[in-house]
Amino acid sequence: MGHGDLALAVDEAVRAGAAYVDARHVADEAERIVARNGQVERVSHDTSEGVGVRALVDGAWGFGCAPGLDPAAIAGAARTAVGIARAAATLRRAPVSLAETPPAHGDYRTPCVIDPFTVPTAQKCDLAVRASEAAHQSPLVRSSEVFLSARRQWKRFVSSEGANATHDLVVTAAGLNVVVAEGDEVESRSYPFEAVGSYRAAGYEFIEGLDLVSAAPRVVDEAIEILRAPDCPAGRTTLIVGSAQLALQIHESCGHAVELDRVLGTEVSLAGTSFIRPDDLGRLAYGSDKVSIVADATCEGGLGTFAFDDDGVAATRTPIVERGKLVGFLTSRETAAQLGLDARGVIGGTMRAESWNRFPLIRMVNVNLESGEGSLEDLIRDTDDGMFVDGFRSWSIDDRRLNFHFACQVAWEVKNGRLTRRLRNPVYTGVTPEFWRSCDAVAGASEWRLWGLAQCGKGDPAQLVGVGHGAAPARFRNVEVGSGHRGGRS
Amino acid sequence: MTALIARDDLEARIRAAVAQTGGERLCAFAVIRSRSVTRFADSSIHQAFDESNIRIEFRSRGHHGVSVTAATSALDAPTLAQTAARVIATAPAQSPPLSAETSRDQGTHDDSGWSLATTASSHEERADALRAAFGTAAPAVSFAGVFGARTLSFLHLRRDAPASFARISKAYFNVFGVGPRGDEGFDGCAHRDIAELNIDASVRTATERALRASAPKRRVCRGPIEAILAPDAVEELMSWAAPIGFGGKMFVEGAGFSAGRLGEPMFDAALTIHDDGLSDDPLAVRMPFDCEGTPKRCVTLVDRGRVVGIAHDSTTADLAGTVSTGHAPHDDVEAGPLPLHLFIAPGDASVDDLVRGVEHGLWITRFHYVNGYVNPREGAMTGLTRGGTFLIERGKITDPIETARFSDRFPAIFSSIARIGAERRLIPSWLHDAAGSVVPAIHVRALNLT
Repeated sequence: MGHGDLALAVDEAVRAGAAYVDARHVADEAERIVARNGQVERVSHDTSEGVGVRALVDGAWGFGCAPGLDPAAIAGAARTAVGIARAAATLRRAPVSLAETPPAHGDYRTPCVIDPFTVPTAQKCDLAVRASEAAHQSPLVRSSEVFLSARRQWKRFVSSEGANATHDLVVTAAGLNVVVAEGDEVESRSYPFEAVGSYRAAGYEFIEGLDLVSAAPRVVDEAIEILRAPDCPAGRTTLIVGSAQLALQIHESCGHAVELDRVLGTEVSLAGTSFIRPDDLGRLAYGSDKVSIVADATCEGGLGTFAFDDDGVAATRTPIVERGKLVGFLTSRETAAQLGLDARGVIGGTMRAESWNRFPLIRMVNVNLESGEGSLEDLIRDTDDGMFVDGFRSWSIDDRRLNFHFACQVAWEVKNGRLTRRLRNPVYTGVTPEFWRSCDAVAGASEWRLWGLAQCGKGDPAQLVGVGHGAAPARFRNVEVGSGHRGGRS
Repeated sequence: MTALIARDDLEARIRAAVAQTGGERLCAFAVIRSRSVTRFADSSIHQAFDESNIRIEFRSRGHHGVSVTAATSALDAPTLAQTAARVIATAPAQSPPLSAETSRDQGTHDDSGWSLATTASSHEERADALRAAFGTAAPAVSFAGVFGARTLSFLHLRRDAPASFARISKAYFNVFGVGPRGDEGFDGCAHRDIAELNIDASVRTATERALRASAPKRRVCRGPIEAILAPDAVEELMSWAAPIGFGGKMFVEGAGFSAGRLGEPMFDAALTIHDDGLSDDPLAVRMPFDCEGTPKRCVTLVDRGRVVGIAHDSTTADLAGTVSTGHAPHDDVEAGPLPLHLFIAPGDASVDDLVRGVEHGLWITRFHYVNGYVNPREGAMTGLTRGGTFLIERGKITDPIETARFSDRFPAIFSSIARIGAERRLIPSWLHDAAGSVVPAIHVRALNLT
């Protein structure tokens, strides 16, 4: 389907009375391979294609969609969107207005060395099986699971303002998870991230680079060490958070908190709101002066990397926190206009929909903690008494993004500048601004890594999209830690 | 909402693709989803949309521990045939059949869980209903939430066998009353028939809770506290227990809290839970067969405090040496087979009775962001209160409290139950479109606040 067919749908909605219309033709393709205990368990291949039309009528939004590429059905979706918007307009307080932005134009492709869909499935199955087999080198291994996945999303965006642009986004991923058991004790460890694996906007070369087969025995050894480690003690301590865990910390306690729809109260249902108020912009001490966070939709390899969003706004690198102070939000054209941020130049495109059949929402792009100085080793060497944690296991935060709780896979006691012994079942909790204000060091660029979270959920019904988070290990003072053993009951 | 395709047309197209492809083990599972949603905030509609999708999954059945699927949203003959052929090309040629019995299509046509009124619900009708409900509410409270209607159709077929078809609907209304300082009060309702929803009552309850939550808040100490868990709070915990305690995947891995403990007393003897996708209970969500085509079985998961059953698909059943209970997940559910239609046996207490039975404790309307992966082997979970959490003192609900976090083990929470409510509600689950639990309020002796 070309620009012309989508433009017809846009015209249809305009004729029906829409003041603004956009149409997205999206074709998704996904492949996933799972091997368990040395055998292929599942091979799946999915395709999905259709068109979604969003219309603004009488100051209210409506959205309709059609699977496939039948022109009549797409025109019907356009009319549906207009009809829905008219109904919505009967119960609204203020009409929607949109910040002015130049119409999106151009084509964007994820840089790929090896297109993952050109690699034979049998080759991928073989890799998954070998990695899974490599994990079974100890009688304590109860199960191993390896997955490889690839996803392509091709999209054309056309609007009544003249936008016409395409995306060809590719994400690859892989992961290994082992479960070890001794007596009634069970422990799991995963590589390279946490249980859902590691994702990157890249080709199959990313999977090859993970070297799952070589990593498997090491992951098993770690799992057994953790299984036999003493429980994490409870108390307050200095916490050094590894890059992978910090990615999730940023996601939950910063990324979601600065989504402007949450700040303005339109995501109360399901997701919740934010402790941040609109007038905190430029005032709120979000963290210490070591903390600078950017929303960067332009960095290579990120799951939140693109050329324009589903509002037709060009990708930007927007400061969110500068040396501790809140200076930006994640915005849409609608929310930016509500706060007048477009006039102040504080707008970055972050609207994305899961696929052709979903209404776009403000979503994180790549929300990254900027690097500081030195290495992880330097951070540890500079710490007399504390703990190092990494690799997330569970996560929970309240509806205002204040009160968080994380369980991690890996923990080490730090004594006199050295990692001394492993600890098991580590959890840590805190309150968002207090935690970030307690940050007194962030490691340097050599330790900085960009991670991909493939399934960030938001909306009602929930939509899952990929987001990125870059971070180097960082140190936080006076953090409450404890053990997830017995669920926290004494 | 309009039907994307008629059942007979869909079946004919899929049959043609299966026949053209020729694989003897090939079967197909199609899901048609239609959803019409009105989202509102600040008592104003801010997102309204119709979503639809078709997912036609071809699966190579009967391989030992191997599932090969290919799915498409396209309905044209070449794409369907190509998708089906991909399965045949990828499936291992020589793998032993599963020892456990797999699907046996029944040729059923089941739409007893479907309501025309729900499918036909329009945006205009929902906007009118919201306007009326908000119009009678206290002006100090605004409302945010979702009013939706969804229809799902399922079709499973294999060559030379009658197809199984089911259609279900679900209407749901979740509302947060938001007080002048942002304090929230929640209520919700769900039913297969949208005409059965009482959204006025939910708006009234959410208003009352929001206003009550606007009073000065008190803090409660860390540690165990008695609590009445309202049905939404109970369902949230149950939805997490499904993968880590009652699902076949973690069970066969030995990683879930029930593994190796079947038959042992784990909960209070007052607790009995079963999963039933075939229930005729008008509150229930029906789903008579799974994506392998296996008819659902009614599985008693907890019988008077003892875990006695697990939800299996053909793969986990084979590993566990049993038969599938008809709980094969769609391909996008990584957690494996899950019980999606839980029923907790009711007690005899009214809500007032429950409250009167608490000397010092909490009323918890619902939880937020529970996570059950803290330590699945122990059933350890954490989460927060939301939507109206109040102290109960000497048998009366009194003041609101600050948002509280609990960290506890699922078995421990339900190991000492004071009473169970008589009234049960359908609470949709986040686990799946077609999931929903029928649960009462439960008075537990100790919930560990951290």
